[in-house]
Amino acid sequence: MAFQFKTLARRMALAGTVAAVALGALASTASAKDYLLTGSHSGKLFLFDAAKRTLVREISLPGGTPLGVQPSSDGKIVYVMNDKLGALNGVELDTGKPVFHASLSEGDVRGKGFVGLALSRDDKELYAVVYRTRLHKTEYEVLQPEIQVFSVADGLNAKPVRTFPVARQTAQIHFSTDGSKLYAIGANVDILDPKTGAKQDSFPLRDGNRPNLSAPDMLAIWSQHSQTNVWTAPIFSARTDLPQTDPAAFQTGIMQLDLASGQMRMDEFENTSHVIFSSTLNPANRDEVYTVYTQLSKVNVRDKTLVKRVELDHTYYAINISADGKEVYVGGTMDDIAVYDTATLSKIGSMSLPDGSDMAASWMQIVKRD
Amino acid sequence: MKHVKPLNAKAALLEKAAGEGRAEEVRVMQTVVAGCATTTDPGWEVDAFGGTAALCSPMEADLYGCSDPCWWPAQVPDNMATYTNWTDGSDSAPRDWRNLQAVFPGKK
Repeated sequence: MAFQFKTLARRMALAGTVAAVALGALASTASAKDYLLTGSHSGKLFLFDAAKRTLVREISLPGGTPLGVQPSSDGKIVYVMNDKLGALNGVELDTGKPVFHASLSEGDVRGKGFVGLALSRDDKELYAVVYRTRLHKTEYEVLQPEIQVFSVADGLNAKPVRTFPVARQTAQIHFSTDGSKLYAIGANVDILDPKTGAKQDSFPLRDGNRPNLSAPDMLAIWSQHSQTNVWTAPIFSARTDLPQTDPAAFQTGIMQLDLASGQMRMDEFENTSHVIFSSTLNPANRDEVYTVYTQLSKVNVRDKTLVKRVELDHTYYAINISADGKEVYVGGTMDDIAVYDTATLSKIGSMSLPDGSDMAASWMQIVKRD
Repeated sequence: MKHVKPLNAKAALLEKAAGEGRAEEVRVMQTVVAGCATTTDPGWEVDAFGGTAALCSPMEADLYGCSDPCWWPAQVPDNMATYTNWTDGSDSAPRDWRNLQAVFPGKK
């Protein structure tokens, strides 16, 4: 215990450094604009004014490199999954002050998170998917994965206030807009009661039976639905009625999960020819989805067509979009966020992390502030 | 499979599952399994099309995104539990990859 206290105290001291590039507290109002928030391999958070392409905040995190990055709805607190995916930390965005910490391990049970991180719609509870292993002297015992629920009011020594089992292979979790449902995205999309963990329903993915299509293979790493409340992800399926030598034997599509209506849909739009890592829906035209990897693509999901595709300067993992749908931002992997015009897919700007560190797999979220 | 023999217990389990018709329970990259040594992606050597053109470009852009969550633990040190300092001081893989060294089991 003494060791844990010293470790935490040292982390808090290290985390006190905040480079406030622009002075003055940000405030959230009806006229709020878009800021881009992402993490880096140097263990920092970076906040950019998306329209001005300027750095606004640089915060050193307790616990190092973040993967999941989840801002509160008022944009004042940011929660991250970090510390080698073994802890949750929360900091004030304006000051960098640590305000929340929870270890995912307890006793001889080692807990590791991944990309399952979500904040309740009232900002009061933080949910994390935790993969647990009991460390025996001569063997590791794999335990049931669970969702651990923390009260953010518990501050720097938070313990789970509730836990409930979750299906193995669960990756992302997202709340419905009314907060009454928790979507657990994994082999299938399970709809859970966020208070009890009880499964209310399930959208089939692996257990689906779409005509002439295999179960979709999906990449569900990045969270980028704040502009639309529609979470999207690339899916890849095989045609079961065609020989593998047929050009149409493998299909690329987009899965959409509407967190407001609860509707889920999958639209194949091309024969698989390119890899896609993440995607985002256009808030100004909900027929349009933008996808990223080494190419940036515009997809019309209503017509099920690829509208346009351009090569990027390098591979990017993450993507997000402006509130007016005019600019799309690609980030992750290296140290730059590139800005593209959604009408032409031409590059119109960029922002760089000042320390040149990699964003790696960190999420790139939109924060709404003045 | 009759010309391929499993070399370890895990491979034997895979062969057994295939023999029981349970291969369909496996979906590579059907989302992912967190934790070291549980992912089964082939690695950086080959892309989804059997070539290399669809790998991340440059390869270094992909390095920390994969090694941080132990996506491909066979090719890089276990950065989550055993060799947590492997990338310390080398925060840009494209710039600092020469600093990344091989690791060896430490003394208990």
